[in-house]
Amino acid sequence: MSQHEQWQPLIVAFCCNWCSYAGADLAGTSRLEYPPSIRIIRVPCSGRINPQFVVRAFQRGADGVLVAGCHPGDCHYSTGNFFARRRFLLATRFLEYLGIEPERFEVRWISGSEGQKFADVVRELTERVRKLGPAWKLRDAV
Amino acid sequence: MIAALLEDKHLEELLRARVRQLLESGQISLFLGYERQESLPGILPSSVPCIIRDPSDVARLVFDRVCHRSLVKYLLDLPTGGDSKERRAGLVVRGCDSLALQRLIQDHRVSREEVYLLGIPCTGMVDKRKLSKVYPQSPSVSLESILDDTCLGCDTHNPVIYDELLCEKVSEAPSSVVDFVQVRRLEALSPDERYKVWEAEFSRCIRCFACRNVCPACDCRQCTLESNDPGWITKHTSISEQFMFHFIRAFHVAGRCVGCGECERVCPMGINIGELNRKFMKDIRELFGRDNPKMPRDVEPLGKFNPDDPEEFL
Ligand code: SF4
Ligand code: SF4
Ligand code: FES
Repeated sequence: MSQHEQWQPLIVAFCCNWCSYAGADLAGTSRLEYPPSIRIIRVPCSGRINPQFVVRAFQRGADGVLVAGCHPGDCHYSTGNFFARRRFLLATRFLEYLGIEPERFEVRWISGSEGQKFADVVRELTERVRKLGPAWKLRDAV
Repeated sequence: MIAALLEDKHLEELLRARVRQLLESGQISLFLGYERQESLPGILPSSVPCIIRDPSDVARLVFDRVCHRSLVKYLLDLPTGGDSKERRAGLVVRGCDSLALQRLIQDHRVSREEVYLLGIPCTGMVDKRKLSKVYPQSPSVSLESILDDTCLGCDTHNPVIYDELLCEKVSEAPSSVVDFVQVRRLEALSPDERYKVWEAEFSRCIRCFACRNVCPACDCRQCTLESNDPGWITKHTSISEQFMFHFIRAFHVAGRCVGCGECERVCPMGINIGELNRKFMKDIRELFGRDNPKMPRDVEPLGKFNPDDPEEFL
């Protein structure tokens, strides 16, 4: 086994309370298996996720970041994720432009009934990040 | 020789005469303009902003190709309150100044009635760094070779708002900014290469905040960069903090930047932060179909959405 395969990356996931967090919950109660790499931060809505949060996560130790919200049209506050979609269409491109590997950052719509999808997304993201190795760009010097 | 390229004495006389009339008639109570900065022989000519209140002072006013500074942000520092007529300020606006002012008006930081605008169709300002290489020895230089890069790519030579024009409109050349040449060049690099480019740029930043202060799109009363809670940045200048600073600055003007180029001109370290702003302009144009990403609107692209926006996150 190479060093990278043993290494467990740290993934920070910003999940909206109403869909994606419930999806994560469902994955748990359905006893679906997914890597223990993830740390979930619950936010009221994907519209609450300031793109600066993503930079902050990378600063403080994340190797990958997931942003998850309700499917467009399903937002608990009607339109929060439509604003988030615009914001993150730009933010994903901008992070990449600054030199962050696009594989480390993902935005997905995950509903409360998509426990399986949540588990799959986390697994895939973890595997991609594992291949890249630990993130060092943007990292705080400690 | 070079001096002749920089000056327009006729325009300057017109400007002085008009400002005198406006002040004397009480249409404006002060005029924001430029005056010559004292300089020694052989030192670059330069102009600094000045405020004229007394009609007999108009002879101080100059207007030439070294009047870089945009004056519109000074409007935010003028005393407020009282009868708006009394505090009506006059100022000159070129194309980029008028876009910047439009930005402040859309953001309700300045009201249109508070200002009297002398429009000057502009054919470009001189880049001091380019000028310093040829001044004063070179007998002949072309104007083109010393013009500011922003001006070379400008597509808004004529002011978009004004009360009167001081000279004839000029023809608008197609903008070269829309090609986003530098942005595309950076996009073609690998992530690691791009990171190195930005690391080299940002590590020179001394966090003087000049780029923020000068920016007409950075017009919040309370700036997040100065907030301790939440403290997005501290006084550290570690590279990680530099990325955060530049991420915040650029993202906060995404969709709001008018492309005036002031931030690039003012930076004492010559950091090319304009390529960050232009990246957003390019993406906004491509993703949300905004044809002129520089033109201020009342609702900016990030302040609204379209249910049919591109979907990449399924
Ligand atoms: S970001 Fe720079 S170019 Fe854009 S409006 Fe502000 S100062 Fe002008
Ligand atoms: S003007 Fe230049 S040095 Fe000053 S804070 Fe902005 S980028 Fe940094
Ligand atoms: S509540 Fe889930 S995205 Fe708005």
